[in-house]
Amino acid sequence: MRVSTSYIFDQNLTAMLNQQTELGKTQLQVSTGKRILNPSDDPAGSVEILNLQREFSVTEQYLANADKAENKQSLEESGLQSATSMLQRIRELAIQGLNDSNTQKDRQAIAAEMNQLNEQLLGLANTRDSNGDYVFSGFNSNTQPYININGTYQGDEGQRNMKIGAGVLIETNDPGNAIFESEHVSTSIGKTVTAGASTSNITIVNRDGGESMTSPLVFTYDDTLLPPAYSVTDGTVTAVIPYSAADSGLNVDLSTIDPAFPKMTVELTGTPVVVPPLPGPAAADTFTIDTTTTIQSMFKTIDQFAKALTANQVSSNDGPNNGDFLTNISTSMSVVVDTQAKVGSRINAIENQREINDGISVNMEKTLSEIQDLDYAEAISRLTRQTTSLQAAQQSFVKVQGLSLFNYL
Amino acid sequence: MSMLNIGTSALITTQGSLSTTSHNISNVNTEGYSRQRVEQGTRLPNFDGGQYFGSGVEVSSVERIFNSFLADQVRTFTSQEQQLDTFSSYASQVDDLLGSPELSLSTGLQGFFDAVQNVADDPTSISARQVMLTEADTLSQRFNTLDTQLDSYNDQVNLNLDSAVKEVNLLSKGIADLNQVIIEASAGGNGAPNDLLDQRDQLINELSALVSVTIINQDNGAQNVFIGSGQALVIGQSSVDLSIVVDPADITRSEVGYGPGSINISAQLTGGSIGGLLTVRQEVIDPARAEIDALAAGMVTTVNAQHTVGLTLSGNAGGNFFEPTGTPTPDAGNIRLALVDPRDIAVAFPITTTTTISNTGTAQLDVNAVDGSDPLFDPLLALDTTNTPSLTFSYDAVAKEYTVDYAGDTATISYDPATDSGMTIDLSALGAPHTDFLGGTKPPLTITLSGVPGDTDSFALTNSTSGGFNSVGDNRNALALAELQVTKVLNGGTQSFGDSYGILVANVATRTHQADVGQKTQQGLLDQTNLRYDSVSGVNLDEEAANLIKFQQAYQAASQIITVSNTVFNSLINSF
Repeated sequence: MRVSTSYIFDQNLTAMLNQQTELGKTQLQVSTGKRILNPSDDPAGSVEILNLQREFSVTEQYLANADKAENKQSLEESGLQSATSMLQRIRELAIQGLNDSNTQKDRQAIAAEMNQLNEQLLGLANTRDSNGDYVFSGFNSNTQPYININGTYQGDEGQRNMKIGAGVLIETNDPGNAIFESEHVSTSIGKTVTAGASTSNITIVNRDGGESMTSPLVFTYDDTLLPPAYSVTDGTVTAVIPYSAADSGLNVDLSTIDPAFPKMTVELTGTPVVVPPLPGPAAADTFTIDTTTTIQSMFKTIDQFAKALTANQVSSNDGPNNGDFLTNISTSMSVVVDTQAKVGSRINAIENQREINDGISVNMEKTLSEIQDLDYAEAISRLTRQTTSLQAAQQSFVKVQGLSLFNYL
Repeated sequence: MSMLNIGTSALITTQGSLSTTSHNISNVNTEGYSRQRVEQGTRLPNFDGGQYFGSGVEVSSVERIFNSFLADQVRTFTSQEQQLDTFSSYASQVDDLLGSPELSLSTGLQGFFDAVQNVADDPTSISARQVMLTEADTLSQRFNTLDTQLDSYNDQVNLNLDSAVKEVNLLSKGIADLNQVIIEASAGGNGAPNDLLDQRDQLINELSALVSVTIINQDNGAQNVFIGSGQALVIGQSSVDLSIVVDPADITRSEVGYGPGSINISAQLTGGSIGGLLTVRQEVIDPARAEIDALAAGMVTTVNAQHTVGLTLSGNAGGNFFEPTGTPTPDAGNIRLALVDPRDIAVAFPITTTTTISNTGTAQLDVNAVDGSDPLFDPLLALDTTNTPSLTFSYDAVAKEYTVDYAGDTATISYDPATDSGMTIDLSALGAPHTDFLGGTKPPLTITLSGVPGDTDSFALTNSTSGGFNSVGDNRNALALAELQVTKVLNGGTQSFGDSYGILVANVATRTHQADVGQKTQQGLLDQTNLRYDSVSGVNLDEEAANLIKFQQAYQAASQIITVSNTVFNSLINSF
């Protein structure tokens, strides 16, 4: 086939230009390190890159959220840790203060320390984070949860969640009322005197068991029994405690009479009055021991006890309900410890999730790199090949252009 | 005498060949030039003495070496290659635009939603809120920039259509003029005006780079040119002008008009750069604009819908986050941030849940979503305030059900902690298997019930604003906003924002890639056809050099005839 001269020229030129374009592209790939320069180079790959980048940065955000969540939880945990040790100290002080060998002065000194600790506890409940937000007031984070020792909870029960993984929300706070408020047990003894002047009395000496009572205990004096005795019932079990005025000062551990009764030692004193059943029903002294349960802040509980200590009124029958203080402080402590455990398990969950996210992140980075990053070895050898062939094209162009019959005319 | 005549005829003919060869050599680089060749033949013989004696040579014609089939093929492939080339150059601009990390919506969406999550992490932090506003502003600016860029591509298409149409008009005028000259030149049995034919073919070639053409040869030497579905551009010596008309449906779009009535023939036109411009606009630019607009509109609608449900830092109803909301319809060009004050970001839910303090169980009630779709919905009064609290749940452990009390109406929701913990229920659509509310309104809430409730355990729900707003640390609406990133809200609930953008990028990339590949294929075909065409019509200098030698030798030989004839004549004279 004959070929026209201009065609040879044009073809050679086009071929060189094309090679230059390819060379330029390879060079750009090498200098950017990217295999895909425009989405159209590899439409499927570039969409995958977009998706991976999106997932990758979402995961990075989850990791950042996890860091923040962990910081918040650590702050809470250390607060709860201090609260626990303060409560322990308060409990020690209480045990010390309840000891009969104390004088009122001693008890006042103990109460002073207790008040000090109580103020610190209150300060803990009013902790703020780096944003100036109250940590323990739920969603009402601009509201101080407890204004003072006797203050009621001002926050709400909102628990703020953070997203630390796809579909994984983690709570990052606990409302103060779930930590600093708990069941407050108070035991009361009521006496019903039916007739005349009665000198009988029942006092609680010891209730180490500390458990709250499920139903009230009713003591009714009955002198028709032999020997005369208090009949005790909790509604289901009935037992008798032989007693007459001569026994005044008798200490009885109720749980030894019947295991169904609470572990409680009562002291029976005085002379019970009995009206014989002359026409009309028999009547006798009746005592009711009952516990009431309310929800109360630990600050108030401690304060009430400290006041009682100061006033030297710490016997079991003294108000306000000091006999139950150790029980109540234990309940408070266990609520704090429970919350601490919850926080701990959240921190664990955060760490697990972070490991998962780290794994995902590393995997995605690897896949992303496989798709978008250049295989340098291949690209460099391509660059060399393209350079060589461009050079060859240039040299042959010059050679071929020199070929002409006119040179010989 | 005849020898001298024969010699002279040879000299004249060879001179013709030499000059044609020179013409070829001098036009070696002339675009559209077809090489010419002198066809020569013997002159009429003399009859003398019963014999025919040759009387020399004469030029029978000057031929243009030309194959009209190949010329047609070149035009067809030129049209196709040009169309794809134009298409691919525009498509790759859109491709670059959507793919560039500086302008990509993908990066913008990511930045925005990251900022939303940071606000969810620290709802009271003004700086986190400010960052969210800035990111939202950046995102809407990205939308605006993309829109402006796509607009500018549309403008470029209009400009290029305009100049292409002007060029078509110039070319068709030129072809008509050449038709006129050619008809006159070839009239009366004269030889073909080769160079004029080349010029006309060249003009038609140029025309085919603009739009696909069909050529019909006429007996008088004229060529009629048709475009599209048979619209005559050139008939004999007259041409019809194309014009630019504005699309009545969209004044930003130019279309191609035909003839004095400027009838819109865009739909009929294919091939060439005009075909490329029209297709790339229809298949890449328009869909990309529509997709980005839909994305922006979806963003405005969904973010606003969630945002207006919530309460701001000051406890006010969350306003619109993005604008505009109604008229004009939101699109990528006009989307903008509606908020200025970072405190006005509605991060809190309008509902507060209170667990009754004496609850014995571990049950929880969480509000997952607040439905603000009712046009009368007001986050300040999300729940009916007939009762205080507005909505109560109390559990019956024997019947294993919650009794819901709302504005005097009650309903029951069966809940078995052993199997139902984590149950999500939409109160606004409360119905079977739970007992329906008897008449009245329903609370616009979706809640999750979990844990083990004790008997008579209860929950109370009230408006967060009742008795003064304090829930500044509530981040539930921010979490709901952040969740929009992965929620499939677009395209009938099948695509998230990111998905939708990814699909757009993929579509444009695929079309660009396809056009690139097509363009390379057509380029290859065009090169091959050009090679064939040139192998017929192109000038080869070596060939011409050889011809030059050949004709020079023939000329020298013919000169010798004259010399010999002179010698013969002299010897005859001298013999006297």
